[in-house]
Amino acid sequence: MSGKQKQKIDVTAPGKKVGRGHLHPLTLVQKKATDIFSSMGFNIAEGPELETEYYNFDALNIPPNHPARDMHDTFWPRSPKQSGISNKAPEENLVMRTHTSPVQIHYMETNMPPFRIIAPGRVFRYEATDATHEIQFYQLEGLMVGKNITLGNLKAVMETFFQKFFSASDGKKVEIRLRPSYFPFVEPGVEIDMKFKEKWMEIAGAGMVHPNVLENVKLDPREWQGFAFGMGIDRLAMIKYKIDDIRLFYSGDLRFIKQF
Amino acid sequence: MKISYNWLQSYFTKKLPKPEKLAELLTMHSFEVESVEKTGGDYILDIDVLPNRAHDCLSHNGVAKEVSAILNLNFLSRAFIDKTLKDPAASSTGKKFSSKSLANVSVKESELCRRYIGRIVEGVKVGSSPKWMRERLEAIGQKSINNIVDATNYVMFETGQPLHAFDADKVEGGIVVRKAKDGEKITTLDGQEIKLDGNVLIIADEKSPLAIAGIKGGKKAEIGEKTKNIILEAANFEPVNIRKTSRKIGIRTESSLRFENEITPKLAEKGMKRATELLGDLVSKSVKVGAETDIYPKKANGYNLGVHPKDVSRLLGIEIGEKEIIDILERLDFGVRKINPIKNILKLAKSLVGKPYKYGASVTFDAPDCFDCSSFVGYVFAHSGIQIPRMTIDQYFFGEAVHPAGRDVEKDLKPGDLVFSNSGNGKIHYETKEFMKGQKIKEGIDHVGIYLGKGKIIHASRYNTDGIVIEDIKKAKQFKNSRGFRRIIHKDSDLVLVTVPYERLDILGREDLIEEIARIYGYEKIPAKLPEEILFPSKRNDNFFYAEIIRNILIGAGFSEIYNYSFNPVGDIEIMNPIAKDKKYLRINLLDGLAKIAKENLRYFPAVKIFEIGEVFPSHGETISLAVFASNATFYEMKGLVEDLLNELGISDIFFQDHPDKVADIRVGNTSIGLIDHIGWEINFEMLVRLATEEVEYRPISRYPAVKRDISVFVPSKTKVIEVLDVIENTAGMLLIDTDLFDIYELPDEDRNSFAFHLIFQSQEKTLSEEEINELMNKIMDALDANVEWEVRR
Repeated sequence: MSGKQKQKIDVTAPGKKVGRGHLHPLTLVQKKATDIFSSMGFNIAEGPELETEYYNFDALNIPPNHPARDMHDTFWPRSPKQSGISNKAPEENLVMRTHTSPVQIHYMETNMPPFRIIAPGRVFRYEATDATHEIQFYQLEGLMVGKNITLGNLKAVMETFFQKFFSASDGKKVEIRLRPSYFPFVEPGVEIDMKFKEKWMEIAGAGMVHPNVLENVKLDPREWQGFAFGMGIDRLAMIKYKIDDIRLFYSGDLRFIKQF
Repeated sequence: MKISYNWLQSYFTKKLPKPEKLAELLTMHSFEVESVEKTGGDYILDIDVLPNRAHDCLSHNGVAKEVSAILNLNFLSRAFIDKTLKDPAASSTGKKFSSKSLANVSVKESELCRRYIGRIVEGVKVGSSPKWMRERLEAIGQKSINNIVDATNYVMFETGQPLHAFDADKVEGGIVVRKAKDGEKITTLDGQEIKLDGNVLIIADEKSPLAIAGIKGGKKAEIGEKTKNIILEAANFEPVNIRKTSRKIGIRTESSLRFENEITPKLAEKGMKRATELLGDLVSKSVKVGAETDIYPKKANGYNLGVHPKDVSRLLGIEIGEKEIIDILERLDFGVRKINPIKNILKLAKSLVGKPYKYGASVTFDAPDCFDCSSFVGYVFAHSGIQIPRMTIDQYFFGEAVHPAGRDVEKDLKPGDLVFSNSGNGKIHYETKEFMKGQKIKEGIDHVGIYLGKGKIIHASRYNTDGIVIEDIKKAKQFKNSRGFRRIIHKDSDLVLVTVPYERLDILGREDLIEEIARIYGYEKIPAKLPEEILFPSKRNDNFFYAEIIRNILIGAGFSEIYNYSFNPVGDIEIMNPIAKDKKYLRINLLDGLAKIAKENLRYFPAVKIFEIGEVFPSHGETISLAVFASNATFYEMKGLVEDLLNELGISDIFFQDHPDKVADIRVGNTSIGLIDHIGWEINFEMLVRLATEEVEYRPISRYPAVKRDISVFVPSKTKVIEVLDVIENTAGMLLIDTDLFDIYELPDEDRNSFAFHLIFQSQEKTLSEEEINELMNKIMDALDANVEWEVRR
């Protein structure tokens, strides 16, 4: 380059913006999570957001009028008949799925073990919104069924995942712990905590698939066993990017989106 | 559930760990302690008791039991109430029984009121409660009312059994537990008037309602300052009805909370005894206590389960020794006994010979007084630590086939195997009902017995007045039509037979027991171990795969991704309980939402380019959609983006067709895949994925130069670019490798447009000569001019 040309350029002036768009932070987090699980041999499964009561509750060992249903504040759409929906049985009760666990049922109804799947997706809860609560959010469901899948395996898979997901920033070993909890579709049921800034923080629910759930999809629980887990993708994103208000994800505010 | 640390301490002679430490132990072994707060001289642990432990742990007793199991500390079955009080156990025994007992109790709804214990206490003096009781109740956030009401509340927070006290002198006639009549009303203790209906269970006297059963007391028989005689109630109500009523009338109380989560009817006797004792101590020395009236028609049997250390290691992935398993279960108050299941089955079965037959008899409520064939087998196995399905047909499929046809029974069968038949009489089943529903046997099954060995069988015979009988298998009338033999127990090894404490309604299967063992043992001691199963490479999910490609193309083109709400003010599918007026329906498209979002963003940005991929809910069913919106775009920019995107996805054969509402319909072959407007478009993502191909075929780059020529043509304004392009491309053939529209303009004062194209010619085989290109251009121009309305500018 000649000296003459160089004089015309002020190298300190801002470069011209290419005008590239930005991916949503929840897309980025889903991508990172699914990549990690794919590397561990998990397939991605999906299910509808507009579910039937059977898949969202009954098949998951949450019978009608069970107090466990109080753990899921539910949006109730009008029945297929009232809504004019043609691809569902007319009298079935519809729900906006309250968790991604119904994907477990769909998958197990159509696939024979052994298998390992994850199912990321949108879920809905009828509740007042604030900085940590939204009426919709994303979960990542996991399910692994085989002849000898144990709770110790669950612990290792969770450790591996969180290690890969969170470690990049400081390289420190991620610490997790299991403690007793209750989800009707697993037994034992556990909560998974992760140590974050010297404090334990709830990060996933998990457990060994309940025999009733296996029976509901016609798998003999004496032959098959496995673990299931579920975690909030919004929550992972909030921790990863230090976002303090869940509502930002659904605000459509480009001042937020363009930071990612 | 708020738990007082001091109250908890009163169950133990040894000093408990400090509140924070105790909270952590409970969190790691039982349930989450959400907070520990200091109040006065006490600490309050706020415990998140989930439905599985709400049967036994919405009480200080229950939590104390957990503490005792975790710390392996001796647990006093009853708290020391206060050091200044005499031994409370001794104090009630000295009470005089009144001659008056609560004679007139009538339970009309025994399904809804499983147990009713009532008793009269005479000569009470209403006043304030002693300081220790007030302090404990207030510490856990309860208001002290008077010594009578406080005593019933105290017992509820201690044992988990809700109680109620009525002023006996305000009750007209006897106590009736019945459903309310439609239109009947009650005024509750807090002065609310509630309209009742035929589904609400009430406690009434002969005239009117006294209380909404298990939920809230009424004004009529309220305990007041002048109350002298009371009726004390400790009852058990069916959970679903309580739950429904409580929701319907909008009243949730500490009492309804416990009943709707279900508590055992056994707890009522504990509650009644404790409350009586407290009233005696608190109220006055001269109270007279009437005998209990206890209406409890359907008593439940204790529940048994079996577990083997191998079951524990198979599920948890760690070996825990039998001794330790037994120790943990005993600390949790389970009855534990080591047995050999087959020996136990044979012994127990034989001991029941002569018990009567009753069709439909239940293991829980009727055994061991009477049986039918399946409840006999179910009971005998359960009490030997083996859980099997309830119904005969399910028991058949639960077992493994033994004894191939045509061989000698005695050679193949082992004692303890099950023998099935179709007795040909009564209800014959052909399909499983509960265990792995839907498995079929076309010969049908209705009878089962246990093989005892040496050709003998034991079963509950409905034709024999003796009920349970032992017969020769070859002679037994009901086994003539055999359906084969099934084995339940494969390994003849000992197991740990466990009797579940009556309040632990959550322990129903072996996995529940293993959870008990795991959590007390400590999850932290279970080693993490990656699964050993063969790792298959994961399969591609097309929706996720193509979504990623599309996102990358769109952000490359300057679009940012939006996640909008699935709810919308209008749509096809209505939400019955919307959270807000503008969220009454499910969205049927993404583009309307993007337009709104864009508008808001235009306050901060000169131009907005956004997209979304998400589920939409038109009436024909849920589907995934892809929409793009740009505030300052033109139709041709938007169209170009669609074309680029589809080309990248390997979709050719795209064309655009006029549409009545939007500018155009986007079509691939014969199918419409979406709509396009001036500043946005929306495409059915699932169709896109089905059409997408990754196969891009490589065409060698020509070594010969390309030649560019321009052509422009005047056409009537109704003529579409594609019509002109079609003619050009069809005429030019393979040597025309690209056509590019570079200019469109309307001719002033004429109803005509001008289209101008760059045409690129190139051959794979040679350098094209000037003559060859001119020849092609002439052919094209002639073809265009062949249309009388078109005019090529030459």
